[in-house]
Amino acid sequence: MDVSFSSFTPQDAYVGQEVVIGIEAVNRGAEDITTSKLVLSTERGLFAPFQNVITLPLEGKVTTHLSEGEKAVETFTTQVLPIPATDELETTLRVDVCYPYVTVFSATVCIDTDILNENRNKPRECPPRRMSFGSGQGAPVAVVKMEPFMRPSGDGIVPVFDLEIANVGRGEVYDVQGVDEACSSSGITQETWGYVDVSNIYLGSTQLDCQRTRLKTRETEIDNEFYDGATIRCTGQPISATVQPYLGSVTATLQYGYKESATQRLTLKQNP
Amino acid sequence: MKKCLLILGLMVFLVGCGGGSSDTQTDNWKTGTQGIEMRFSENAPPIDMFRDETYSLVLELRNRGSFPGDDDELDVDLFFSGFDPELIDLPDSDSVSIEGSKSATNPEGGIEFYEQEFDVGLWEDVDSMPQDIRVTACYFYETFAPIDICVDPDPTRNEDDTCRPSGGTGGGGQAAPIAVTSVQQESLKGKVRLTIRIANQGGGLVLTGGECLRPPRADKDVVDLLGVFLGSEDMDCTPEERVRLINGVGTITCTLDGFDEDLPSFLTSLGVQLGYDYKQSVTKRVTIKKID
Repeated sequence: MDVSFSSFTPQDAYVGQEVVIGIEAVNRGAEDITTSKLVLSTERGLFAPFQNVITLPLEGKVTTHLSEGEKAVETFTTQVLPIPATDELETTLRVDVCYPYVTVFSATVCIDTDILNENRNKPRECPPRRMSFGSGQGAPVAVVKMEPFMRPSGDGIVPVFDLEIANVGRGEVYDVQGVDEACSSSGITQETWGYVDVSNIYLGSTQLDCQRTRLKTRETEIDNEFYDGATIRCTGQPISATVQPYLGSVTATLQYGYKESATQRLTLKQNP
Repeated sequence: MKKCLLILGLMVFLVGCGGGSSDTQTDNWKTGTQGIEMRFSENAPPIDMFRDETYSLVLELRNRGSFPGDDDELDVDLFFSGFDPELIDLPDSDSVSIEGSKSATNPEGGIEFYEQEFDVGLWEDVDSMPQDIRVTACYFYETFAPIDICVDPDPTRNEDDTCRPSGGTGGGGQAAPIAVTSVQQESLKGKVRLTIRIANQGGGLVLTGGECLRPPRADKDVVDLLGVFLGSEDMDCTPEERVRLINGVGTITCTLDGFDEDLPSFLTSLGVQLGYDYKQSVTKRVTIKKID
């Protein structure tokens, strides 16, 4: 989701003036946001109390409208309170939006049971190679790289996948359980910051056995760019070498909470 | 009558002086380097398929070679692979018989169609996915290569010889994927020694032992030598039973002695009979799509 201040939000306002602050929120991802919590924060004592928290659902992109999903414009109305001992005062308006989100990743991968490379008629994707997914998956957290390995095992192989998962958006990622507190005064805690639920990773219809079910992203450099990323290794079931090499599908459903923010300066002035 | 016999004798003399084999095989129907030719019929299956639909796979199989001959059927095992069986529910294997083979009266060979319906699925979180539908055909085949060669029981005397030993070539194949590509001859007194080269020219994999999909390494590139005949005589060959192809080429050395050294050279037929399992495949890349 992208959140920003509307163009009609004033750059300056006078004491006692009613101020209408507009916030634009667009779901640019592929998944629907059923509930997002949007909080407009102002410096204490400068504005009359107003309802600064709203919740809104936003539908994601659909195949008939691929550029972006649903867009909403919300307004907050308040009044500038008297400012003491100065002609003008610069303040910052801040909007935070917190929502649970899901990344659905899928990639076609060669399940190469012929590790000795004796079979001449394999799918052209074989042998499996490291894959990069630079364009993301329509979500702020993405599988950016996947490296498949076919580990020899008995009379066959065990497919192993290293998935590099990164926060490729501009916001902060946190455990999906912490959506409520992320946009509260307590904010994202150390216990929830950076966590992505990675418990749903499959090869075809078989769930892969991954090192952990929660992955903590950290700042990492990938191709000269910094992301909050981490790698997880997932292992499949043994596949007999009697099965011919084929194209399988690795799918991952990543669940997390996401927080995005925007700020705008507002100059408060005494009445002339 | 005498005039007729003279003309007949002259014809025999002219044929005999050919020495090699190429001229005598110009009109030979038994050429080509294919056993089975296999292809998908158009749009069966289509390139784009949709989830939860049923499609047909139609294979066109032609026996372009000369085995098994007459009106016998060639049994072909088919193996389906390259795809996720949870997405495409084709069987692992099946079989088909092709009636007819290439012959003097049927230069096109036999033809058979194999048809199989299958359902298509797709994972819930996937919009589209490529799959390969690969059909591997395995069948037993034989090469019987008749090659004319000139045998000279006494190479030191040439005055009555009607042909000159020069080996032979099997250029163009013998209507089978394994072909005799050349025959080199060394004539000794009362004895002939042939070096026969064979090659896999059919584009597939030759093997023995009956295990088609995952043959042991030792069974790959091996041809069974069923017999080598010079006229009606069995030749003694090395190797005796199995010929290993290296880089697709194998060599057999055969000898036959006991020729009457007083005979002049003569033209006869060399028959090389080889048996083998042959494996070849065709692949079609399809895309399974989801309709919202």
